[in-house]
Amino acid sequence: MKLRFNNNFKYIIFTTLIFLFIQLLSSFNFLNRYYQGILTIMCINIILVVSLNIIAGFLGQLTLGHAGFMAIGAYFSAYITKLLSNTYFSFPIALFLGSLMAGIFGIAVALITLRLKGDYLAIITLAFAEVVRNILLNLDVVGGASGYVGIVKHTNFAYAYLIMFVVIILTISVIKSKSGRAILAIKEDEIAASASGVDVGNYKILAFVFSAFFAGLAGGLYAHYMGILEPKAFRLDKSVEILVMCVLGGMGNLKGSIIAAIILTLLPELLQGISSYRTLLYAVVLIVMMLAKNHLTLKGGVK
Amino acid sequence: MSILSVKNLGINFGGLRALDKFHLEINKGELIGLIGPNGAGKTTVFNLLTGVYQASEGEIILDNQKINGLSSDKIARIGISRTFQNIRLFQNLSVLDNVKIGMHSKYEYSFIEGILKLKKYKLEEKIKEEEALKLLKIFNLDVFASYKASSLSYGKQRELEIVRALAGKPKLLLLDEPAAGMNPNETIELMNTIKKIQESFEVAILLIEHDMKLVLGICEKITVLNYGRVLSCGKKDDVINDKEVIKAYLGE
Ligand SMILES: Nc1ncnc2c1ncn2[C@@H]1O[C@H](COP(=O)(O)OP(=O)(O)OP(=O)(O)O)[C@@H](O)[C@H]1O
Ligand SMILES: [Mg+2]
Repeated sequence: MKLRFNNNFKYIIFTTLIFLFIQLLSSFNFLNRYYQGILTIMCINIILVVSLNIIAGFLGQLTLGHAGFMAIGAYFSAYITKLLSNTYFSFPIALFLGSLMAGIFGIAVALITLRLKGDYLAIITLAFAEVVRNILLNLDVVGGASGYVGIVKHTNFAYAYLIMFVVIILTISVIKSKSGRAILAIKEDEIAASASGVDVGNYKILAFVFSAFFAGLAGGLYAHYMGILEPKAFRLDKSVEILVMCVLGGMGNLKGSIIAAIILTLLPELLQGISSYRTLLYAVVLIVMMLAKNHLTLKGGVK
Repeated sequence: MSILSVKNLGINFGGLRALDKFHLEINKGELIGLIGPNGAGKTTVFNLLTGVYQASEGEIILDNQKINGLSSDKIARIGISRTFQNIRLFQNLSVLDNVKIGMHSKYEYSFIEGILKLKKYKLEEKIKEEEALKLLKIFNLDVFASYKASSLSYGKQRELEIVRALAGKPKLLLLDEPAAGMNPNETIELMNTIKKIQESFEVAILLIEHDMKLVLGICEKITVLNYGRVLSCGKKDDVINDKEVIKAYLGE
């Protein structure tokens, strides 16, 4: 298996240059708030797709509950920033605690689904996300159905970009270590993995915790970007949207799924002018992209 | 010096008594053959020894430690490695990564040291990689280190499975028909290599093989299974002259 970013150093330079370029554009007012907003959402989507890749791509388990972890991170971090009100570090602390909470739920989901595979796992994770959403709908402390309002908008492009960068680096590092190899081995063959001394259960839990933690982080950024949270933002569509990015980029292929996240974030914005046909066009473009990708794969273009 | 001692092992699959009153003694560094006709229960013995199945009754003792009921990964870490009758490689990973996963429990750096890429991680990854390449050299597989496992020929995949099993530094190595699908020349070469592995790694080996001649060529001791029962066991000369064995296995 060839790893995607072989040279970490090159990668750091590359991302720093992109960041400086974007900051430069914004400081000369070439990028207005609207475009900066799109870029921020793009970073959040990239974090989501990278985190989902840990379970769906590397561990090879189909999950449909990613929006659930995101929702937990979003609501809990928003709750914490309100609690800590104006202290200087309230945002980073809230982001961390929100992610931690999502990670704890990751452990719970992993423990419940430890012996499940395929369709069964997909159904349980889907149910998990729906339960989370329904609890949020009825939880008055966080606004219930009418939404959680008045969240301070701490998230800006720089914040989202930095966190995205760290998430990608950490994910690559995990995959390149013995833990990552163990996770990949489980995807390939559980029986052979445990015969090689890999504690399959532990590494499944590890993958879920990492994935859920990062999804919670994305949720926290999202909450403090939007300023308002509604349970309906975390429906099954959201989980599927992230999964589509993952599939499109190639399961277990970080570079591919990052590119897919960029394209699928921009696409709805580009289609805004023709709003009535927007969803239709979105679907058509998706199908075309899938076909093109298959075509390339068959020809041996994408390995 | 006994390394493995199995007593009165038995398992049922529904109504089928797949293994009954099975017993086996293996001393340190011994090479023992396990033979028997199709469906005799040979692979089932491996699955019981490695915790894939749990025995209905009986006792498995490895190096003075009872290992019944332990999980597969724990048994692997305590010292039993195996290959599979139907190849079970990590097909989409590189040949080198397959071996590194075989070494999984030998890595000492912690999870944190791994993701922060601290010195210990870098040093150990380098040392282990050299070790893995050295193991691959046994079968001249080192030139394929960066290839996907699935791209190897069938025979080479079998050899890679042996390397992966050896990578865990086992006390006991279980090989399930390692020569299946190989031509006669390859088979003889493989048997010689297995003999060499036994000597240079000082590892005990339990070898399942269909071809009686092959087993007789390299094993000092043999256990013969038939319908889930031990038909005969002991020194190879005694076993091949055993009337029961001649009747049941050689069909004379
Ligand atoms: N998981 C299982 N469930 C039900 N029956 C099983 C199972 N595993 C093995 N058996 C049965 O137990 C018996 C012994 O099988 P086993 O695979 O151990 O034979 P073997 O000696 O390895 O044969 P072969 O030479 O064909 O590999 C067979 O009748 C087989 O069908
Ligand atoms: Mg068998």
